[in-house]
Amino acid sequence: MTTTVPAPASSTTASGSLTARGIHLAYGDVKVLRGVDLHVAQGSATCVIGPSGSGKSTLLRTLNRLIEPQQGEVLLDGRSVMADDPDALRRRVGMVFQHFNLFPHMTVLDNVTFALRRLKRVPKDRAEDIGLRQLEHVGLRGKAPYRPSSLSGGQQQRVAIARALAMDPEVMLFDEVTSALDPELVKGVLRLMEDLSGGGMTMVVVTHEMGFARHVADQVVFMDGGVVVESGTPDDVFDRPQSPRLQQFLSQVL
Amino acid sequence: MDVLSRLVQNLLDLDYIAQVLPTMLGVGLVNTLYLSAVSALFSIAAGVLLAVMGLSRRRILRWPARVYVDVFRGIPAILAIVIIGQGLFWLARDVFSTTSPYPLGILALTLITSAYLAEIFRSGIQSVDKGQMEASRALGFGYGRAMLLVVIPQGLRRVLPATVNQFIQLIKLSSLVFYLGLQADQREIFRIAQDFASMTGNQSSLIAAAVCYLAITVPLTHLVNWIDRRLRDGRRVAAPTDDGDDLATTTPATAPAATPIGARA
Repeated sequence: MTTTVPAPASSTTASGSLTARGIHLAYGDVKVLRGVDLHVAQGSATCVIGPSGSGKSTLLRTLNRLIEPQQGEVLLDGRSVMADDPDALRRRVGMVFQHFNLFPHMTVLDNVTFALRRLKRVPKDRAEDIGLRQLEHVGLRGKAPYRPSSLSGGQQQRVAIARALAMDPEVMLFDEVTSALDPELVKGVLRLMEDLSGGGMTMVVVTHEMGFARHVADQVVFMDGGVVVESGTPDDVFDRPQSPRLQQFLSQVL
Repeated sequence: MDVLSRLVQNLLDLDYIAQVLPTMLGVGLVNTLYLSAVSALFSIAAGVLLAVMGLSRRRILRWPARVYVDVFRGIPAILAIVIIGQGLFWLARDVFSTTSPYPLGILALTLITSAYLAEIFRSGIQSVDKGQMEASRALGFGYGRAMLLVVIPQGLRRVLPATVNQFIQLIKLSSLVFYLGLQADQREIFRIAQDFASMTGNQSSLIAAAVCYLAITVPLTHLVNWIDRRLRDGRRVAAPTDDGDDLATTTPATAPAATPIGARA
């Protein structure tokens, strides 16, 4: 059995492209996603913006099949993953949540190495090496033996990022990861995500941080009412919005 | 004075108490603890299984679990014990070739206690934040493993006080198996006290039995309170600090300039 050497967070070797085609999803009568198409090129960052209820977070969860779309397909590196084992897919796609969702009954290091040890069967020493290296990348190696509850929100979110990165994913999904943070902690997390993108990670970021979207994204996608209304480069979307809905949204948030 | 001395004579005859104590501790206490401990172990396993079934999205798993829990919490314990102990007697004799009511007693106690634990565990598991399951699945764990490794351990911790309370109930419940006609060396605390009382016409043995039960239940009650307090206050958790946070030492001057919203860097 070959063991892959995990690439450090700033390596470009493992990132793939991500495509969504014709994603439809309804809860009973409520249509949440009404045909969404999205393409994220390898090594690029796409920010998804839009009002609440637009389906952004739901879309993100269809990309790693946490929620199964009723119609449509998701492709990783050009290959459809709809027939794959969903658990296997999610080992290749990392996700970070708004409320961190760290495991409170484990130490920070155990949080980061948990999936490595239990899913990938990596032996404890190697897993801890990987874990400590990831914690170092997020600047929290010193917090390894502590419980999440003794960390600030920003620190917890950085641990959550380390936990996702430890699995050496090809794509990273971020669901409003700074929305629950105190303002002074937001910058640290955004800077980390910027570094990650600069290192060549393919990422999809649902966010309200327009500054981040403008500065870091290669593509900005505006969603409303379960569809992609407009998309393009940050300059296109922020400076030359075409659709009235986007213009209205921008006038409210900028 | 007469009333008091007769009371003392009937309930606090130290001589009788001294006579019954060896059997009560050597046989009764041992059996009470054995019945309770074995039943507790099986009940925990069954309780977790029933709790997870009761939370399943599939009706075929959910309904049997709910019915089971309703039945065994809804009938008097003595009735359940008698139904199982006497009603299943032929099953024990013909299938397992044993006429001892002991296993049936343990079975009855287990069935009853697992129903109560199932409810306790279910509420504990449900109280765990849904984000824990989401994060586990996002890492690649399936529903089952996420439950087993992440959700259930947290859920059970939360209901530890209620669980220990149930074990206290179980110890008292074990006294009801006397009804099954246990052999002399199988008798638990209550039965021994009762036999001695009818033999001597004096109820002091019952007082001794009460003290025996208290000797077990009172420390357990204190244990529950201690656990509860520990869980409530938590181990002294340090406030979030910048120690060990390598990115916190960045001064505003060295941080990348904050990008004004809307402007191009």
